Amino acid sequence: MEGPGRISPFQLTILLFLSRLFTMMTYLPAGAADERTGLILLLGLFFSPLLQMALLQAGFFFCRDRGSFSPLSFSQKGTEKTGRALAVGYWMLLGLICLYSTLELVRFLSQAFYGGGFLWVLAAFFCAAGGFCAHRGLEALCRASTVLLGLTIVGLILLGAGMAGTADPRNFLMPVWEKRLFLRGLWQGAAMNFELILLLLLQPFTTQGRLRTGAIWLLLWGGALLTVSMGLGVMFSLGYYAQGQAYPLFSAAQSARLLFMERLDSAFLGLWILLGLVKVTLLLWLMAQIGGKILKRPVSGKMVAAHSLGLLAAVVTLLYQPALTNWMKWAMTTGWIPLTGVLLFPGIGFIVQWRGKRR
Amino acid sequence: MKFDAGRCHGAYQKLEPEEDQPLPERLEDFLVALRARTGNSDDVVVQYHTVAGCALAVVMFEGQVSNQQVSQLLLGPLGRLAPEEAQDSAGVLKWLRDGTLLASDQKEARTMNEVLTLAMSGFAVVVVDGQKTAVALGYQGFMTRGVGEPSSEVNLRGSREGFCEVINYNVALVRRRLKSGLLTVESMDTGTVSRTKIKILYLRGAVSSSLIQAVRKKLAQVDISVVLDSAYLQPFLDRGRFSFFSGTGSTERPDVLCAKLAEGRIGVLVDGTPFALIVPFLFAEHFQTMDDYTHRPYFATFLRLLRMAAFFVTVFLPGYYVAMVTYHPDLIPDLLLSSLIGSVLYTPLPAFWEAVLVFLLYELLREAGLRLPRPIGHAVSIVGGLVIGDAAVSAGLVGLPMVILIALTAVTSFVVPSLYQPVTILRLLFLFAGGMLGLFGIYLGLGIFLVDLCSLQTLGIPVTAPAAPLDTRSMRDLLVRAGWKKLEQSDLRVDDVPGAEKRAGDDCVGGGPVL
Repeated sequence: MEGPGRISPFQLTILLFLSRLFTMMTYLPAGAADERTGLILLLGLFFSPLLQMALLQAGFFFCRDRGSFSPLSFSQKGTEKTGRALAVGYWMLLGLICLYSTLELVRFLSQAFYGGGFLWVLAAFFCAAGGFCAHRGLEALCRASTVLLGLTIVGLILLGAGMAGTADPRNFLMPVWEKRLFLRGLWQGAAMNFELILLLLLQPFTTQGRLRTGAIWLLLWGGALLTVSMGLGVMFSLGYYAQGQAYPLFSAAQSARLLFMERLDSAFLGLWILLGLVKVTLLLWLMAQIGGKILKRPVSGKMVAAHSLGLLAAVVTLLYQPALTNWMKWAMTTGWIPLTGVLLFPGIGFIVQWRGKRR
Repeated sequence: MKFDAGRCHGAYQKLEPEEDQPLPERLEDFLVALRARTGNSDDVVVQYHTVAGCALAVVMFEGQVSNQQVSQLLLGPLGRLAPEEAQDSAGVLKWLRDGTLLASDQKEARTMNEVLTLAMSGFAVVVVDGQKTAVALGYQGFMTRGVGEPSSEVNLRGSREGFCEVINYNVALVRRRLKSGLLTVESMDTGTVSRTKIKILYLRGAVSSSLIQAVRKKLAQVDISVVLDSAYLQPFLDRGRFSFFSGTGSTERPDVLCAKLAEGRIGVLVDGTPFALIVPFLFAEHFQTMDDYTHRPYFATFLRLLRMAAFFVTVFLPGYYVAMVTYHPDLIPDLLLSSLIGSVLYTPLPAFWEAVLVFLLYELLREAGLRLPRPIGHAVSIVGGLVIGDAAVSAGLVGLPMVILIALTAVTSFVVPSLYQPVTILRLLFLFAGGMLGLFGIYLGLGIFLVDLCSLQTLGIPVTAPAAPLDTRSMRDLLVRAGWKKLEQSDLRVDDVPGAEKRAGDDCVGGGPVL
């Protein structure tokens, strides 16, 4: 994990931004507030980068003594047992995020386009594609992300322009201040940002060993700003109707009009599939790397394929268990994942290492 | 045509030992060895002469040398050689060596392989009895096609010269455009049986030494018996794993090769083929033509964007159409849907099979037209395109939109001819993806295509540079073509693109600026 970095900090920033965008495009405060307080939640989301940065700084502090700023470099300092246990912990966390992301995508596809007929086929193709791309490596994914960023910007401009065409200022209602909702927004912004863990794990792979603070701020505020913009766009376009929708941005894209394009949901679909592929590929690649570290074996194509198959098995199992899927969705959004990955695991590593030094 | 190049390698080795034999001192022994090596082949011409009391043999191959030149420049003076000018065999050899007026191209051969290779390359090899060295005099007189207009890279302005089949002429075409001592040409042979001559061209100061070493090493590793075209070497220069795209380009134009050499690429010329290889070759270069640099920048930019759009249309449009019609008709704008619905509903085949049928029909007609003599080829095109196509639509077998779509796809596929092969297969794959999974398949395929393309590296240079990894400085000649004032501000070397693997000793060969 601590080999010389091959990707630039710029590429990592783009990669993490795209990965984050996948979650942002479905995460909207649907059903979380009423029409007058919804904006307060968005305000909380807007300021959540402050909380996220605080979490990250704590994570960086716990990793700082280990040269490469990697929470996994801990295992090479003579404390293999704990290091291995932490690696297993990270592997499971990433597996959960990967499973959740894939499930979200397949469920969205079934609800919006394909019905419930052959979901496992969609899942199988998606997992195979993720495995193939993960096998191609992080560098390839990062390079592809640069091109995808261009496509994403075009897609978002199309969506924005389309929604602007259907926007109605009367949908805007002056918000009523509610502290509880503001704090909830603040927390949700951090709780749904799984990329905080990825940032911590991927930093050593960059040419400079870590991201600059400015780039991290850009990543966090960029994400927050886009989330809020999407929320506002949906609100202006659909009004209160959006709050009852499972995928409000998709609903807004369906009703958007732009020149000869009567609907923009195909653009949304394309964007979301590509972003989902980036996210799942990144997670599968990272899992394979950690898997190799746990097993003390070089990462091979077979190992990536095994991860891909494992993901497929988990997805197919959960796809037909709606109760379990809903519970998982709830569990994933409570915020324990970023807390564990950014604070708890590096904290444990820090304490074990500190005690080792004292002895 | 030898289709199994390389398969009979063991059999060849039995007849042609890899270890080279030194030239026998006695002329009789040499002739016996020559007959054994050539299997008494009829086209070997051996002329015996006795000059100044010395026996010698002139070895040539029929059709390879100019008989007139051999008679006038070699045999004539040789016959007039007075005994006092050359008293023994060493004297005859010295006369041949020093006789600079005998031929402009003069070489020496010390082994049987060298004698044979030179004789087969249009040299008259003079073997003198009692000497271990033979003198080869270049009287090449084989029939060759002259320098003509490149048929695969036609342009509106600029040079009309294209490479031809003779490697020396091709080197001269490059040298005439780059009159600099920095242009270096290295020769080597490839193909254990064909011993095809190849030349590696590069511009010292522009190319890194490690890149040259890597190319030399890869070419030295080529282990096939017969090399008939530069395309035979292309896979050896590419990275090992399979990809639809190659990191090695080819050109028929000397001016294009010169431009690439100035950017730090390496050119590989192969005897017998008018196509030079360029390595490394970036994906974006498929969309560039020589005309881009002779047109005004705004027009060149427009054409370049048009080519890129054509590439995406030809790869994705059929699959996208099939996906939309089959799985997502609700996403088609109403007006367009009303036009399409008739043709989709009233044709017996589903849109996917209809597309596959028309696509295969088109490829069949193209292949038939290509291989047949030109007048018959035209007839096939007319029969196929007009008669069969029109009849199929009239009979209701195929919808008109599908014919229009495939025709549009066919036209756009010719916009970037160098990508025709990958584009054809990718189009078919995307057609399957769209037909099986709808838009999900198309977008998933796009993601895989992008990642796979971005993973491709040739000799450590990412093929997708300078777009990914992004290099804003080089972007002035990617999507847009900046004016010469901007382009001349600094040199662009392919080794400098971000993401290029920096190897040990990565200095420019010879150093100094590019002239």
